[in-house]
Amino acid sequence: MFERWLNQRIPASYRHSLNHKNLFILPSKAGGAYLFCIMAVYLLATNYQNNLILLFAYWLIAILIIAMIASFLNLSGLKIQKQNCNPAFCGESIALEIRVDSPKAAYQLIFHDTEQSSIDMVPRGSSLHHLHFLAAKRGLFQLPRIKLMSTAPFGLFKVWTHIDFATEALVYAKPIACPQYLAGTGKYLQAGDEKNTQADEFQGIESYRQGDARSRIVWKKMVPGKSWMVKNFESGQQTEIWYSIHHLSGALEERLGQLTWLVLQAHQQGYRFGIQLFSHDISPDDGVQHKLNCLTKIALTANKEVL
Amino acid sequence: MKKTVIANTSLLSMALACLILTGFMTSQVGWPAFGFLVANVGVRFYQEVASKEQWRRLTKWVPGLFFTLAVCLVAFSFLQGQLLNSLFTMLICAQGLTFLNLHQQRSLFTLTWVQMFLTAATMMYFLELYYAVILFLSSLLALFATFYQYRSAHSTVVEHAKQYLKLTVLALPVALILFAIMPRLPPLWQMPKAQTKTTGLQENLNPGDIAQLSLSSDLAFRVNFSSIVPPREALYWRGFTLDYFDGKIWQQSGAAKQLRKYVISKNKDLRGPVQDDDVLIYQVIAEASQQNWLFALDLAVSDTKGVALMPDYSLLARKKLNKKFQYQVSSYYNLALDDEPAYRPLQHYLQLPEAQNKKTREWALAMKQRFPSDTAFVEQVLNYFNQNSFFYTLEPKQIPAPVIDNFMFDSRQGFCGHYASAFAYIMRVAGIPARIVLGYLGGEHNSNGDYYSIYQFDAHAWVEIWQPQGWTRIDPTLAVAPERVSFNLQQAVGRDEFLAESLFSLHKFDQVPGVKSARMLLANIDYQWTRWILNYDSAQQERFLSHILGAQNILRSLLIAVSLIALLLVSFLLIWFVSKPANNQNKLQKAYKKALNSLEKLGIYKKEGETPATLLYKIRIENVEVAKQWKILCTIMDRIQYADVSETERQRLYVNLQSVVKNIKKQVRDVVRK
Repeated sequence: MFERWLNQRIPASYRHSLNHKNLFILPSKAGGAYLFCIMAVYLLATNYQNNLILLFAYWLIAILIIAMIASFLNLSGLKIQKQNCNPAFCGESIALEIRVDSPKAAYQLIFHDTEQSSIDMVPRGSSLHHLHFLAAKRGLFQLPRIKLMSTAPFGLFKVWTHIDFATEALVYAKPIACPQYLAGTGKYLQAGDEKNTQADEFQGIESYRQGDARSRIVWKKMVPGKSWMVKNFESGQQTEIWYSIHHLSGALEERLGQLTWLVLQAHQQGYRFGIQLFSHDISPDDGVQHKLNCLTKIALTANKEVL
Repeated sequence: MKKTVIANTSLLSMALACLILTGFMTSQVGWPAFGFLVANVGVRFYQEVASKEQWRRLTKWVPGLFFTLAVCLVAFSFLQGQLLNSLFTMLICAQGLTFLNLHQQRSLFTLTWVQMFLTAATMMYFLELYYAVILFLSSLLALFATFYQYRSAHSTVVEHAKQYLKLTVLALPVALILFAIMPRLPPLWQMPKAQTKTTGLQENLNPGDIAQLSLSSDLAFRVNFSSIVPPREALYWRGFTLDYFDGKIWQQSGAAKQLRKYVISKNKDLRGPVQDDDVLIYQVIAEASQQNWLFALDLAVSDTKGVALMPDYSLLARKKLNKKFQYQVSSYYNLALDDEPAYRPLQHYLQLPEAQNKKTREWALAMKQRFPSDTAFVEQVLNYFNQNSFFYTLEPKQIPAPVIDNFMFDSRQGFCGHYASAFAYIMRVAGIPARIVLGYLGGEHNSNGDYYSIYQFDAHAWVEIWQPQGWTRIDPTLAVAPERVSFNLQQAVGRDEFLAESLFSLHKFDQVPGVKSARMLLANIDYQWTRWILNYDSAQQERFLSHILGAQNILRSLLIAVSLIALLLVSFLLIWFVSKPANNQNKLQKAYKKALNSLEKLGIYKKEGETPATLLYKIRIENVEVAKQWKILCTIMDRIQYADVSETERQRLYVNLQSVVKNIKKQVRDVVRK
């Protein structure tokens, strides 16, 4: 109910401009105590008919009013824009980069993300900040509405808003170590599995291209100023390691975790590998792009794709 | 920088606020509570400098000890039986203990709010403007402690304090508008009475008392005449009359005291309105004396609420004056004070103790035989005072009983009380009804505010005797020290005796050039403060509103108040936020802009997208010297903007920047001159 109203009031967007339409303001706990204190002072003034105390009470009220306006104006006018959001492994935290544009210096900004990130003083102009979210579940993770608040400058009022950056973050499965499969599991129900164990056939060396595995760099031939050389393997004859989800054991999440670990390890070792998932295969390749592709596909494996 | 850590500046500001306030409170709760607070604050500050080991050793016993001390203090003050004071002691002890454990934002808030309440409570006792200012400042300090918690690593204390002051100073006009316009509520319930010492005239005329008063330069009351001002000699401010003499002390008789109780409890007036054309109208603001006496000139009538009219035409406040009280008086100076047969027949004013002061009695009876007419008799008695070696002094010797005999024929030194006492006694012996009047004589005119101040040292006693036309005022002191009446006490007794015990009273230094006018100015500020703030009641509010705003009803005045405040707030806050980015980035831009302005005199204009470095080439063509300075400017700006430097280093760079900009300006001027 509240969520629905909030969605109408502050629709999801990649950028938010804070103003009277999306900022909420209420006395903080300290503000409540302050109100109580004013009441006590006012009662003292009326019951003793003491004008000086009355003036003091009105002065306290005036400060309350000013604190309210100042609290609102402190956050009002801030523009918050989503920048990058990098994928993360399940159980780790997703870092969302945001840019805060402020026409003036603003005091204290607290985000209710997992780390309670806060900014003591938002500088005038643009500044970049990171918000952190716990990647709780594998797959596409819809970043929640995030509460953003401040009690500056007097602590009497709490100004806050809930903003939704309309952002999905990719959460990779949590890697589970399984060194026994590192050498490859073979392709499930496929001929030519034995190929996997064959040694690579060395073809010669050529210039390093972006994406070539580091393990293939010919370190001995490295000369400052010249481009790096890499060993080249004939693709047809090259060792192709396959990791198949069918050959792994355990529940689905466990298997996906193991597969993730294998991909990470294989990439680090510079293997040329392919993975086999339930519905499709990713043919052997190497390089960062390939790794990310594999991780993404593993992350997005639907729960229903069982055996 | 975590939120829960209390900044040193906050700590200091809060400590100062607490100490100032508790310093004020000592007048009510005594010094032990103040000492307790100081100890707590001291230990808390010690924690900031102590090593962890030292601190751990200390915490083994300190909190327990302090808690026990606090309990003892509170218990002791409860035993003394003054409810309000023990409440204050309790709050102060709580403040101390909270301060001892001041490590969290929450404690800071608690401290601040209790501080605010205590400040308000203190204001019950300290109504004067300068005290009020100090109290406001101390609460400002307390609030600053919480404000400062929202500091950033880059701003200095001064910058932060400026921001804070802008906000809180703005609160003052808003508060004043609220104060002037918001409707007043009557007291909602009875509160325990604050216990304070009574000041001003004592109920009895006991030689010695008035001398005490003469040593005090405290204000008694202030008067603002609406139209004509009577001459100084006529300023006999009547307080109350004494009708009973026991041979030593003049006091009010039992009947008179009964009458007073009756008037106060039954809410009655014992005199009705008077009609006459010759009338003086004036406003009196009496100081808080904790007594019921009010002061006015002869035959005074007042229709102010809370003022009772007594049979002898004195005025009485229905409640003890625990704060300043303002009332309006009409004095019918041409009417005689008639008698009051319904309450006290004239016979009542002939009461005398039989056995005492026989010598004076015989002397008076002999005199009366020689001068049977009242007028001649009075004249002769006054002559006697005048012709014989009577002295007017504020420091008479102790007179042993029988007091009047010894005064008349032996010591012959005394002040108004002695003379009035003796004179009234002689009158009664001679069969002339007489009573003593206690009040004040004279007053000091303040030309800044056009009002009269009457101080405690103006206290005076004189006599009224019954003549066929009514009660007639006779001031026997006049026969001895006429200058007491036509000038003031200071001139009558000389500077050494005047205010002998109060060393620092400004009144003593009136002869020093500038002191008197300064004192008058301060007095006037205080008077206006009293008139417009302390005594601004709902009647005055109504008058003010209809005068200034033309508002007829509360609703309209409320509307005006709200719109006024809104206007004020919006305009001021806009200014605040526009002027706010006084941060470093802005300083840099300002300095750069200044430098660019100087360049324009050389004919070099910055185009869109040109950086300081690209401008350097243009400048080099025009003038090499300026270019050299410009290069330094570029380096400094780069360092400020992009280098990772410490805050102190950054501040130093800003100073350098300013001087380089100045150099550029100077050199450009030289070039242009050539």
